[in-house]
Amino acid sequence: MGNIITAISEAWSFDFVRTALAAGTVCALLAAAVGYFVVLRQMAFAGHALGHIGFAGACASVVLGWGPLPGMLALNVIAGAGMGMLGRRVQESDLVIGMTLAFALGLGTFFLAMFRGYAGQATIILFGNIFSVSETQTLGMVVLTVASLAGLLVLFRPLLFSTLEPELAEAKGVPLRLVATLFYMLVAVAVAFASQIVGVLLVFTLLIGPPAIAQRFCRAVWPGLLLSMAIGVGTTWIALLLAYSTDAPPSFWLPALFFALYLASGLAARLRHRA
Amino acid sequence: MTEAAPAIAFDRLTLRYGSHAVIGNFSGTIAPGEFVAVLGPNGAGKSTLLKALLGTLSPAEGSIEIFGHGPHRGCTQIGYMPQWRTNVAANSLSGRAYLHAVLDGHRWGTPVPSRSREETVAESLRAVDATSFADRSFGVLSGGERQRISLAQALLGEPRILLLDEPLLNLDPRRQSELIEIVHAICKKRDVTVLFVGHDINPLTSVVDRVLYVAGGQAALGTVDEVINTEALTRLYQTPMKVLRLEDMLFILALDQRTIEHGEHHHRH
Repeated sequence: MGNIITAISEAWSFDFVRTALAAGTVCALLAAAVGYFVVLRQMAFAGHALGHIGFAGACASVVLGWGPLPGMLALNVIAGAGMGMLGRRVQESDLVIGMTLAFALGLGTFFLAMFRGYAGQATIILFGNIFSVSETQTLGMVVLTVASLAGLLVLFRPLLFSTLEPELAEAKGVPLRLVATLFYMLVAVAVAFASQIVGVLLVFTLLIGPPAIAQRFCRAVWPGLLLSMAIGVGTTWIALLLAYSTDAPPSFWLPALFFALYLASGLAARLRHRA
Repeated sequence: MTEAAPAIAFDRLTLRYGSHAVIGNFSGTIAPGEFVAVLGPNGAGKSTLLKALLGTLSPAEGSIEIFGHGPHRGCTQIGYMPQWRTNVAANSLSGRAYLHAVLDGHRWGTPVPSRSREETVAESLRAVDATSFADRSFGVLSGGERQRISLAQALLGEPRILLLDEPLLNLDPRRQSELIEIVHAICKKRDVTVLFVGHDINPLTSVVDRVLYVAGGQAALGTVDEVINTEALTRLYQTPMKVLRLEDMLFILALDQRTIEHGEHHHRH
């Protein structure tokens, strides 16, 4: 026990660890909150695809010398808005999403190939590097996360309604397309941030992991949403501390922890069901 | 029955779905508290008619009036139970959470828990006798239980008209008659007009006041005997039809296709 406390206080004394924890916290909060609705809507694959589309934006952005985040955010939000406007037929089409995803990954590779020197950047974009996020970037992420969470609160009721009963929501006057478009833009922001921690390949884990675990225990919306956010943030902290004190990166620890929690929660739910 | 101010009035109504006319030049009125079965073959326009009543589809010609006003989205006089969906069933929310989501889902912002919301939802659940399973996950409910939750949703806000789109789909005969009885009781106790979309008249014969039959691009409104007979249906379908009566059951046959149009034989979408 003493060892753990020493390790934590030692880690805490480093600026880059504190910055990483702050950045990790906001990314995890937003991903888990947005992810809760992604899971309800059963659009996990679309969320995954946004990460890959962001890869092209990130690569272009690196080539231009801006670092990966601005380009990724911009392309993601545009792609998200497009997905929302194209409607449910496109959102639910594995083929359309899959083709677009592959094209975007290829496009990203093309940008990187033009600038040999940046090849190492690909690994960072694909797998993330939370310990290299700067304080200025973190501050920007905090601001955008607060704005996105505020947006989610405004969308909350019509989003939930149109997710569960689209025809009924339409009859009651909910503007389905507008709600979907705004929501996809929030997903795009969440995905861009999550990829700062775990990279575009593992965005899935932060977006889907916490709500998937939370919904095994919660039958109502608020408890599910809050538990999802708590699981997201708690697991991220533990993963960052483990990454600091071992050689394995956060991109290993986060998916590993979520996977273990998911299995354990499934087991717990099954035992409770039997009892 | 129809001389008082009607709940729903159709005046020379023509509805088109895409380029194809599903209901042509149909007039008629439905009184408050009437239980009307909406019947007809697949794709004949039953759901299209509901869309027009909900205001999500405009009539090509003629008009509909609901308590004297044109249909419009967000009409509080109407409760709507959409057709069976799988996406609600796949998530882990409870029936109660689902009703809360529907209750004020048309407003922007965040739901704030309150006693009056709880009471409104609880009241709807009681009306369909769903309280005992309202807190279980939707995914583990039986088909009959899910349909009752869905009906409770339609009752939120105490509507004067209930539009039920194929509520008997996927239910076994016993659950079918349970659901029909609940709807019938609500209809008569609260003087609510019910439009009950189905494939088969037989489970509904004992409760319906009248039938609205949609087929062959036309609609006919009348009692079971007026509408479901060989002459009337032949006129409606514009092809030779035959209605057979066996005990108290009705079977509708399409003579030139040699098929049973309705009876103990269910179509799936």
